[in-house]
Amino acid sequence: MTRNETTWEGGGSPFAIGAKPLGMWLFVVSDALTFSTMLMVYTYSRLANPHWPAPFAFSPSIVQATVMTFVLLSSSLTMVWAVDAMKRDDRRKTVQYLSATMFLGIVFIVIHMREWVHLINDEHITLTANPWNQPLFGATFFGLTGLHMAHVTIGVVYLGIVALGTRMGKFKTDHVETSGLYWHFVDLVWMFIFPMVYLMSVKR
Amino acid sequence: MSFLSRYIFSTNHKTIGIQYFVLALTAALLGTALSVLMRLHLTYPEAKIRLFEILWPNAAAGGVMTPELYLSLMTMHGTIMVFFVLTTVPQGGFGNFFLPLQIGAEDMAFPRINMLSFWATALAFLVLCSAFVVEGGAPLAGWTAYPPLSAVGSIAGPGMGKGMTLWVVSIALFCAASLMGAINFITTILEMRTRGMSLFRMPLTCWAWLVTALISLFAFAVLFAAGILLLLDREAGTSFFLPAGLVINDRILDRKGGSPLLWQHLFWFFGHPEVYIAILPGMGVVSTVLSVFSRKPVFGYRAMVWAMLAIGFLGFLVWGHHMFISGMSPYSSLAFSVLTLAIGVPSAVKTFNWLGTILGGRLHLETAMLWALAFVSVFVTGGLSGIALGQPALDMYFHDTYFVVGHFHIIMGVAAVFSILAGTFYWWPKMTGRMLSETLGRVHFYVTFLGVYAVFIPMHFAGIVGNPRRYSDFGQFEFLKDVQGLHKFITHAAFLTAAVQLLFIFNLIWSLYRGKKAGDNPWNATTLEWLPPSHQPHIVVRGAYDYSVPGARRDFLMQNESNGQ
Amino acid sequence: MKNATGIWALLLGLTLAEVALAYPSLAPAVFLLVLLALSVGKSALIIAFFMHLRFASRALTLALFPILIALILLLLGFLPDAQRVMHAA
Repeated sequence: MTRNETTWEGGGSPFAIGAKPLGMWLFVVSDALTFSTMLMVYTYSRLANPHWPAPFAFSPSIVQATVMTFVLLSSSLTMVWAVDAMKRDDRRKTVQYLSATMFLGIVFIVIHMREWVHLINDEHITLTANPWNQPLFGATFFGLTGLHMAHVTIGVVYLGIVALGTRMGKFKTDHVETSGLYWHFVDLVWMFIFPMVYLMSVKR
Repeated sequence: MSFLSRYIFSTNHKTIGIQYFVLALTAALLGTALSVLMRLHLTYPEAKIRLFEILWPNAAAGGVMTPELYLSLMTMHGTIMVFFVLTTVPQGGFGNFFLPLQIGAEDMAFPRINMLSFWATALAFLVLCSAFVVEGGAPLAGWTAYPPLSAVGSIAGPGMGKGMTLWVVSIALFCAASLMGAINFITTILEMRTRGMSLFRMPLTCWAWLVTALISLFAFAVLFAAGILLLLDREAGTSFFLPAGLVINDRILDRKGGSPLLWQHLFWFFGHPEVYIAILPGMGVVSTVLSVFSRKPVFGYRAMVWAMLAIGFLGFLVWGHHMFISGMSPYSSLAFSVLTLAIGVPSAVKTFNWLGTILGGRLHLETAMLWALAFVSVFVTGGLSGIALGQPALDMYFHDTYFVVGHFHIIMGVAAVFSILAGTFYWWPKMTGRMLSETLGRVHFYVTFLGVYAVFIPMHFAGIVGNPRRYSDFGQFEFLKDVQGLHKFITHAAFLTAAVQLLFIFNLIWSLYRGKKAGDNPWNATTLEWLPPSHQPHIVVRGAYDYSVPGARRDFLMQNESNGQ
Repeated sequence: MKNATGIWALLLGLTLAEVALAYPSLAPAVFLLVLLALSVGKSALIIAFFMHLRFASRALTLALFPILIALILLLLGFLPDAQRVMHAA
């Protein structure tokens, strides 16, 4: 009997990962389609409105957004370290790395909020109106980044719960690994939003 | 265990299955009642009906429904039936109860998410129903909620204010609930099968639940995004679905840039797969019931599995056939049309395999079997009118006529409901320990079976005449004079069919108290749910449909049974 | 652990490359394709190394991604209609 036959025969886990990570993978795949839909709505709106504005100046918008990307990528790195530490059963380190990840997540949110406030106050771009009379520019921008920021916020809370559970000894490796999948996914989504929303609309 | 944790916030898959079943039964009764009221008004548009006035003192002042009230009933009927009946019972109800039993698992993979999923569904239903009582009443936009009228708020009519918003919120909640359910189903099937239960030994019901969960995982993700955008358009003043230059009720709207077609794309990208979410679990039930009551293995088990996977995937490629008259390029129409007709291939594979299953079998015409046979009948009937609608040239004419109403009620509504009834009669002994009355069951079956054909076949003829759907009164159209009699006939057949459903409800209640006690395995079936409860895990040694195995000691071998004498 | 740090540095580098490419004024369609290619590459790195998919069973990759990618490509079917929007002033 080959290995493949035994793993699919029942009584085991065919993908050799636990139920929790598999469940999170499925959520990630589904949520990826939700974000893809939003990005497609954005693309559609852009194609439908030929005079789409390109208002993002190098400073502060592009610089801030690049820094945000670095922050998010770094938070993924600390998350990888957290999972690694948990696999070595080093709970103290795990909690430290999880806290670092949460901190970077909060930094991301803070810079992002600054960026929003700058756009609203200085550039007069709101959800429904902007100086170029292209209402969908603000709608797609705030819709996409808002949905992503909601994910980051939920992620910070989620990691907090996982850190607490890890500290109290209630959670196992599976829990940390699962929260890691979520966090990396939130990072991954930003890898599409940053170029498609910001870089496609830089002020030259 | 307290009462609350045992019966209300239970994490037990059987309790959750029953909860879904009861919720959907409530929804089905409400949805049916709404359709009866609609038919009553359609046939007697001028009659002063006291009941209408009692229910809606404003919208039906003097006992005559306003057109808006009619539309709101239609919207609620469609939404309740599609989401809270057809999507809920076959997957949430039967799936939760029987999936773990059939694959030999102790429970679902994530019991708490399972509970959350049910309560989110229940909350979504409450939010939807609350649209009836808010200012302006229920929305008028139909279950497809097409913008621009669904996106502009109360200037589009009564019910398009708060009622419409509640509708969107309800659907978004339902998406979240379905997503949680889908993750649970897929994980359970992949990770929790007992030893020996390879994928190709699973009963076809489990395969159907798996494919349905996969479709839900993706389809509801798209609808969720669309729901958020519609909510933003309504409540935050964006214009994703609103083009420039709209004049609604003599008011000029200052929105621009968006496109109502975008909603149609998003909605139908979900909406067409949704049809298969409703019908695939039923196909699984029917395959099993036909096999059990023919005492023969399912014909072409593997072909059945591949056909379901093919239907599930093809279902995502055909959303455009709902938009033929939106002005899309004829080349796109052609592509969507060919793909649509291609779904006929796996559907035919399934139909011929069902016929192959009963061919030469020893048929036991119990009520469950009658419903399964009736399912095959309506599936073929509804499928054939689908071939007509799948062709752009014909759809140009049939679109938005009663032909479409007849088609989707037979293929989506009636077929799925018949499979639910087959499942109910087949599994009720396991769910309650009692048998349903066969006599009442047969009367209910024959009247319903003939009744639905009497209701929905004439609708096709009305559609051929050109009778538009969603109108509350055909009286003033000269060309529709000739179909008035047809509509009267439809209405009376619908009343009879609706009334006989009370017999079914009575049967359910009666059996709880007086029904014959069922043994562990009343149908002599082979799948694991019919084994007596045990704490030892079962070890599966054979496929799910070993009936009439040559040389075996009886005409069925359970999945955990070796072929000893 | 070293491996993850290397991937992280690579991701930062690719991000800088994306930003740098924004300024030579490429044709929008070309720029979009380049950005998408880089973004797909970045997410592949994240999925493979940070989410450990490279070290999980091949079956998991095959179960999760082909359908997702096919469906995302299908969404492109919306776009031809974007040209048909009413352009009233």
